[in-house]
Amino acid sequence: MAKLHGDILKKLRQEKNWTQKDLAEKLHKAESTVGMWEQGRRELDYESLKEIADLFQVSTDFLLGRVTNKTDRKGDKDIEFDDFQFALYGEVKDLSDEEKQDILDMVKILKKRKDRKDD
Amino acid sequence: MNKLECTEQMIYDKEIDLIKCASKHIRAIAFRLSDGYEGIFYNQKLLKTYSDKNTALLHEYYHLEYDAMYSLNDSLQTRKRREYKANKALITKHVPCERLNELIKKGYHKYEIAEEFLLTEEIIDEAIRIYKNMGEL
Repeated sequence: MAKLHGDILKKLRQEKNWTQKDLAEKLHKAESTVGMWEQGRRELDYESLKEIADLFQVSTDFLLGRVTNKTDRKGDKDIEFDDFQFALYGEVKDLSDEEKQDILDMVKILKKRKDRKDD
Repeated sequence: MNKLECTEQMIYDKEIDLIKCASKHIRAIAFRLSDGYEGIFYNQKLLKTYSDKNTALLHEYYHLEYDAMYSLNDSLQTRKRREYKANKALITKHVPCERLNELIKKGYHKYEIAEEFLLTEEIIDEAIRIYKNMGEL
């Protein structure tokens, strides 16, 4: 689960002149869910975070309030492919740039979840 | 508990973090961080059936369990060998040869066999191939 910065989501929505209902429909969620996200009363799963980031064309780190530039990602240089091992389900082939980025994003999430458990 | 729930419980018992993901490209992936922390991400939208999900989770679990992981710099050949290792572990643990043989002799279709084991038809094909190579089918 991720702690979405509610004010940021609200501002992005308002920039598009969307109501909470409009946004909810685009994300296939209840209007109340969007409301709770904006008020900071509900955390959201990674799937929804990615959907919102794609919808508004911003980075997930921007939504989480970690960077101020909409397309910046925090600590991109902090995680290298040497820092972890992985095993991808499916055909063995060279990875596309998008797959590599998805993998790095997932490792960041895994590290955060681990840090939260350690706290 | 059904087979999928057993798989999920097995993962939780090993303290592997099980997480949903929404990648457009990745159905499932296992990670081991440098400090040993492990996780499996799976994509609910791309793993449409219980068999798909069960097979993916088991496959990723055995990558971790049998230390069949790789890094970006490993060759495709190395990755294929590790994939084979994970598949073989899955098959020997969850597709007992005797039962598979029995179902084949009874004339079960591949999709019926896959359904019995809650696995994909592809992994049943792989099981048949591996057991034939081992001289057990």
